[in-house]
Amino acid sequence: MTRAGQADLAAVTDDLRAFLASATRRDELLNLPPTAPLFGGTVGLDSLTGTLLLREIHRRFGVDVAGEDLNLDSLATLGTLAAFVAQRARPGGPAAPGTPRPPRPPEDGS
Amino acid sequence: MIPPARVPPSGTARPENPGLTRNTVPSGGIVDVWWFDARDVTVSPAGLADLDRDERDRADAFMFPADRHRYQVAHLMLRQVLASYTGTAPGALVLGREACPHCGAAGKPVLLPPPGPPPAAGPVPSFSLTHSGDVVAVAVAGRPVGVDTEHDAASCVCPLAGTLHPADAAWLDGLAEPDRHQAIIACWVRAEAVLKCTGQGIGHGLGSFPVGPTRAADLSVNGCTVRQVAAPPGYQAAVAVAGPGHLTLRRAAGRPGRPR
Repeated sequence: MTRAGQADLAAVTDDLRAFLASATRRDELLNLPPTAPLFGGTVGLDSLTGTLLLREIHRRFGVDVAGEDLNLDSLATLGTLAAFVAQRARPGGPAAPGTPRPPRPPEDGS
Repeated sequence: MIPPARVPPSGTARPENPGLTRNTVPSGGIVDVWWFDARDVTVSPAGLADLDRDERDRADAFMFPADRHRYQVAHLMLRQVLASYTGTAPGALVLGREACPHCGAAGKPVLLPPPGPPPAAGPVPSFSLTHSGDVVAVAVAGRPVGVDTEHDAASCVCPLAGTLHPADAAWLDGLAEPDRHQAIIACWVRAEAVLKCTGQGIGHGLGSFPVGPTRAADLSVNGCTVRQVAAPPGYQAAVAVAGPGHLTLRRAAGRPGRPR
């Protein structure tokens, strides 16, 4: 059963891919598999791009990932992040004020 | 305007020739900044042998070869630069992590002193490594130091203003594009350079101190002195060094050649 406000997982996943590809000018990210870890170096995302991604999620889906997921488990992979967002999406944008914090940076210090 | 950086005195070793002339670890507020372009560097199997287990594991974890190459170049150049200050072979340098002063988690990478009695070789240099796109920068100083560079974002960066200090967000809000876009990235690299200098993880946020709007002058903030520095076209960068006072940059630009 789909509860009201829930977004389609595949559509959210595609949205996140499209945003990442656009923000980084890297078309290969359009084909990122759901199992791909987003942070920690696997796809080379830097802290600035990661923060932009979370702000974009807040703007587009009304989900404050850093505020709602205190352990940030949802940031493990593209798939976990998309699922977290899809479950909480509020069509029409932000439903609550909040300032998403930056994600953890790549651990090599870049 | 950004003041021109000074080229190191002649005779200073280039990082690819660490055995020729030893670089002196800078004192006081002096920071050496080494720049590399990952496209200019061929990574050889012999070079990869200089990376430690952790670096090799991280390199192996990259999904795309281009990301792996940039990471390998960044860490090989870091080791060659540090070798030029310490006289230790790049592959024999031991890197560790300092605890984040905020949460205690393993964070800022540091060079560990060699085992045994205190080295006659002189002080252990502090360093900071950053890479973005094809650009790699290594900052070296006698005090804690931080450097950050960012490729100019293709998308709108306005949402980042909200992660900065409220005073910075307020003046950024008054700027017109494209100045605003550039100023937001400028604030970001300054704030991240400060955090990398103090060792506090960026995951705790970077809006607890203001870093704008002065671009040219040294800014004392959060126990550091920070300044915007000249970066390759399409990039912005900032350097921070621990303590108050004047920051003197010695810039070492150029082609690193091939690691061994």
